[in-house]
Amino acid sequence: MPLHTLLVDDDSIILMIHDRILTKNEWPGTWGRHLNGQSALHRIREAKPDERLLVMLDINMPVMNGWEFLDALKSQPAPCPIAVVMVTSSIDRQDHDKADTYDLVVDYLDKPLNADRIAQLLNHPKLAHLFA
Amino acid sequence: MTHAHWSVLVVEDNLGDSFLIREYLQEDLPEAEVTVVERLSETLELLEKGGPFDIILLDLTLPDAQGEPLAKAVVAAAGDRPVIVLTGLGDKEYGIRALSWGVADYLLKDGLTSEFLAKSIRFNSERNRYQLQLRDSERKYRDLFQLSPIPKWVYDLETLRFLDVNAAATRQYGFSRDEFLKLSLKDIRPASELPALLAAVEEVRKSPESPTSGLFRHKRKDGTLLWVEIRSNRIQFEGRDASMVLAVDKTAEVEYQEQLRLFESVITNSHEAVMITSAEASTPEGPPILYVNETFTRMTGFRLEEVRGRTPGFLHGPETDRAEIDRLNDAIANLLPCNLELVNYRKDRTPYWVDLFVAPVYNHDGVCTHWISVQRDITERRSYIDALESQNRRLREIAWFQSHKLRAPLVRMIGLLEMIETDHADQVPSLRTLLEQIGQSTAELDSVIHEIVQRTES
Repeated sequence: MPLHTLLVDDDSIILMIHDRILTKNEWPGTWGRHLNGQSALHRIREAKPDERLLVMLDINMPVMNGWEFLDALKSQPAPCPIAVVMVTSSIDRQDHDKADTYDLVVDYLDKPLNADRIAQLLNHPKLAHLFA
Repeated sequence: MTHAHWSVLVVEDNLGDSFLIREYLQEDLPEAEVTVVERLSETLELLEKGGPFDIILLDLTLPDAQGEPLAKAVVAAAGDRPVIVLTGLGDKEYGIRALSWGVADYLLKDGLTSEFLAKSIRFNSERNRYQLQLRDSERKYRDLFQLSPIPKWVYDLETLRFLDVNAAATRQYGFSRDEFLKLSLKDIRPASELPALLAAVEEVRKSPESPTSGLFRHKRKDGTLLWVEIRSNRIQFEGRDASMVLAVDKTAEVEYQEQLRLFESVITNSHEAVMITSAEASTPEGPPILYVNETFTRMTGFRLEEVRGRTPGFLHGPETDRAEIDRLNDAIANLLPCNLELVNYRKDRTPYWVDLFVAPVYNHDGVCTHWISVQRDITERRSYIDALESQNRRLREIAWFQSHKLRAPLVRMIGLLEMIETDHADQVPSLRTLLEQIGQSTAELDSVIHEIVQRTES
């Protein structure tokens, strides 16, 4: 039943900022920080079936980048409901277009998160089932 | 030559004379069948009905006609058949005159014997038959000349004037027969050809026996030119030294040959390499090469002798795109023209980019017999494209760098500023203005990065 959000970014300062912004804006559920895709994937594999997961995913990371993470998740689906929001400093159109090709990705946001972007996510129709 | 029987028409009103003629014929020409009539009117009637007479014996004094009018009327009605007149002794001069009216012979009644009569009939019949044969063969030869579909004429070797022309010649040249007969050979030749004409005529004069021939330029009445193949034989024509000429129109062939030569020179002188292969002799490896032009040799280093009979595959190498080769083979299998760009290899194994256009060539029956391929060396254009592409790649790398590396710390600063602003700005009042100014600067920096990325993308 509970919502768990995975903040996946190799930039620890960004992770710290996002952590505080979520807190300040009363983001629902729990969340954890992951410095690469691999670490986030481990957490997802261990999820309980009644959990609901939201991944805030950066693209460029060491060990396993955002794309590799999405591919892995596609070939071995999560054991519970899950959605991905790209949160990245990339303003490259090709990255944006590529993200659109993944069904799991529901939105593409510019870093850093702020109050406006949090509000956008909370009202996102494709995320409503995770907050319910 | 003897006849099965003779049919003799005797036109004689004197019963004594006609009886005597019967007797004579009975004696020396027993196979003769004799019919006797007494008047011109009966004679004309019989001849008109087509009586089967071989010869006519005519007395020149009949009740209804005499002398010259009688002789001429019978000769006209007799057509091809000989008419022999019978006259009295005193009419000897008259008999001689009768020869000018078209009769075949004259006989004097008074000195007539059976032997002499029979001899005259035989002689005149045979001579007549011979003349008819001669006339027939003359007519046949005349028809061969007149009705031949090939233009023919006879010209005077001395004056070069036309002595006779056939219908095909009048059609070919546009002059009527009468116009032709007022012209000479010089009038159907363009001025520039006159020396050649005189030389050709001289050759005919020198070779009385053997026919001479050659290809010449002739001119029609309307001034248009044509190519003709001339064959001429020396003949005697109405007592003149003449030459009979056959003039076969070769304009289409000559123009076709010239067109072929023109096309050939286009291929030979083309700045593009040209290769012709045989579709009919094609093997699983491809069609064998029949021809390459000099530009091909300059482009590849291979001479025609080195490549003739080989299939074009020897031009390919490690960098040749197999997918393009498959596309080419597909087009060949489906008899379709094909355009592609390939890396080929020269004789010294250096690679070059070639723009290749390949098209099938069909014969009259619609069967593909050859492939023609036109090849252009596009190495320079390709290296220009490669340079452009690598420049574009570098630009994209810069954009990516802007987007990812440069923006990451900026994003961090923006996030940190917001935190300071919300958490601490109230504690230090003078800080708010400073933070706002730093915020403006980072936003400005961010918009510059956005703009750079956008420009590299458009």
